[in-house]
Amino acid sequence: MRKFWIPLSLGAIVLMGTTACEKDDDSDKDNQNNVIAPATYTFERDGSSTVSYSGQTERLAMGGELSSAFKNTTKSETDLMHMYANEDASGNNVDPFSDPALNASSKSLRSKTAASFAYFSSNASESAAIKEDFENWITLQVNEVFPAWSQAAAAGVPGQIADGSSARYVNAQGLEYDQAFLKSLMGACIADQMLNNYLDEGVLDGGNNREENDNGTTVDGKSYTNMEHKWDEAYGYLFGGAANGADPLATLGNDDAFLNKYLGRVNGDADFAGIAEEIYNALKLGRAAIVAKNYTVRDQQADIVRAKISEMLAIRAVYYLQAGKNAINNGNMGTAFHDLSEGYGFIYSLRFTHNPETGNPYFSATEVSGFLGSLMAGGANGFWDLTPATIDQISNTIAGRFNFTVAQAAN
Amino acid sequence: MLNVKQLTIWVTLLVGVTFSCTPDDQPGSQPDNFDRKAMLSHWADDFIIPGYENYHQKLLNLKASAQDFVSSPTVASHTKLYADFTEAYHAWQWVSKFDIGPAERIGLHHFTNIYPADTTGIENAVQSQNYNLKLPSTFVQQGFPALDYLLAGKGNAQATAALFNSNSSYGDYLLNLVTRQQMLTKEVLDEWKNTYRNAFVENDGSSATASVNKMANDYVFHHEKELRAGKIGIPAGVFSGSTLPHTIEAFYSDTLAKSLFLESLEAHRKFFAGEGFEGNPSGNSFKAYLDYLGVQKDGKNLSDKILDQFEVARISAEGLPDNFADAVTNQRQDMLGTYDELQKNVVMLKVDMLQALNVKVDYVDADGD
Repeated sequence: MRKFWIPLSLGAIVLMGTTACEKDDDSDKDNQNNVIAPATYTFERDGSSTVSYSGQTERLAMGGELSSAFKNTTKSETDLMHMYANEDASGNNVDPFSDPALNASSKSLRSKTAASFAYFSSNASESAAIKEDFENWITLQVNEVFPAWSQAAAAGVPGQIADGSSARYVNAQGLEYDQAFLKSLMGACIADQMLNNYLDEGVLDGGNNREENDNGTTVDGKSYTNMEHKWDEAYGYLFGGAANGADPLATLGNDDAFLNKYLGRVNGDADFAGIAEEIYNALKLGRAAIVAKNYTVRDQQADIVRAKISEMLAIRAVYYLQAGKNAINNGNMGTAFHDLSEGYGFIYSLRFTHNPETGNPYFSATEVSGFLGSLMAGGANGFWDLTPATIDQISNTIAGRFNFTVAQAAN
Repeated sequence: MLNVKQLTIWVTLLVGVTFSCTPDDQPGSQPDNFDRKAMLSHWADDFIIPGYENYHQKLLNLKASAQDFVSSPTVASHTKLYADFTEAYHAWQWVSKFDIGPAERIGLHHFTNIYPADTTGIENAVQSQNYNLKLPSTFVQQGFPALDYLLAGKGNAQATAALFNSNSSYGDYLLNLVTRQQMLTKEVLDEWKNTYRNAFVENDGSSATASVNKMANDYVFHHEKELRAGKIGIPAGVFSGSTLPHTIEAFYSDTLAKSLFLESLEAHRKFFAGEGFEGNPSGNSFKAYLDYLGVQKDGKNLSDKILDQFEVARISAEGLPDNFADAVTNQRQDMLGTYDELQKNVVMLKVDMLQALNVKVDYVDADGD
């Protein structure tokens, strides 16, 4: 196999070279407008950094703590709800996290779930329904799965099931609620905020952002303009967990359990090698374009990020579906259920993708709920009854809307 | 600038180069006349079933001395029990890799040797006397790692005997573990003898679920994940960046891990070479199959290169300190050197051998979450 990759990467170089040729006109124009991306994501004004995304870093860390809590049977439903919302049901302050910095934070995951400007600012009903999905998964984890923690799962019975040498904890349909919750959150909160909020023209140019940015007017007490900050917040949802946020590709895949982790996985597949750099470069150039007041270049880069992050989520959805299928074929149901639970969340996330050509998600809410219905085999036993044919059908439909094949995603 | 047509030509050229680069001497792509059935019979009759017979006998010995120790916990009964424990643990190394048929179905490997042990879980189980050893979450609370903890992790023989004297819950738990291990093994052994042996030998085709394909995968998987990673690589920190001494096999027994490693390495070598288990007849195995196909690597028989490499790995491991926890901490470079020698055979077995036998790898690295 090794021999196969060498010529393939040569092919990639030729392709890249070609792309560079085709883009010559654009880059000439960029150069005329002085938009040159810096070597790293480093931007300064009068000697101070203008880059800030601490709120994103905090939310990623909240997701990490919530992930552990989903498997801690000493936690109550209220504990988990508080971690999700970082406040109680009446909106009072709570301290649900082990990290005091997170307790002190005013941020929360729940308030930013299905909350993007582009998709939800005038779609409160769907936003509320999506938040309810997340709260339901918490409720069901605590009330259905926690009590079944020390029993074996079977069709229609929640409990634990072996995945290799580890135990997975599933509901009566074989679904792991923690995977459903966390992987869906990657779409409904992280990607939605990144692609459909902070990279959206409506947000970048909101208020007097454009005029302020043109005049170099910074936010009171800060070194950045509003528009610069919005862009950084998008950046933070992908790279906010990196120890070195300015140069984050060195630790790609190890910096959170969300977009960064899975971009690392996809980038590690030879079929998609380079996708991370492409996204990083677009984020750098777009930010430089804001500094250069070139909003055309800015929006072109936003579109690259939107398309590529969306593609990454779809690739990973298909990857887990196919992994689940292979495990079913080998009779490893616990392994299959874990993969399918991850896949469930990645599919849920597709509704929050962003196709730059249409301004809409690659898959509508209706299509996504159709996939999820098929995935649960439309019955009381869910994954236990799922057939490889159904898995292939969903996989083909997802891959078919992008420029990758099921086989490329699956390996 | 290249136009689309030129690009197409380029890519086509490159693809052409790609295909001409791939080895076209894959004999496995045509059906061969190697007697797979004879190989399967040798594996079953001369290696696997005698290996299980031996292992089961050692477990019966272990159970008897556990009963003696629990009814009368003394230094002497502990010494006997511990000796039987190490014998059984060594015997296990010969059958550990046969995760096929009844062993695969009941999860024998998972219930026998997942380490490190969950000592908190074990203590909770002992104290509460409320546990279900059939659950996947208890893999790490039973089998040899749990026995190692109970027999060697609670102080010296005297202290351990005193503990079992003062708290009968430990003895109950110990007997439950040993009995369960023996019963599970008996189930696997009986099925091999009664029905599975013939099913295994008759399934002599070359599909993904055929016996040769499955066994080749089990063998390569075990060599990679258990021998190379579990016993050496993980403790030496190959995958974590820093050493993890508590993850060595038989952590509570000072020098057992090295001996278990060498036993397992020898079990891999003999199986590959076609030798029988402890005096059983030799027969055809992977070596014979590769030689039949005439598979060469760097001008030598691939089978000889693999056997040579087993020897290099053995010599490398022999040179490590007897106490693997010390080795990990104080001679990490040497341990990494042993890992590297094992890795060379991972490549030759998993890539060269499986390709030559036209066997597709049926496992992927877990995604880790």
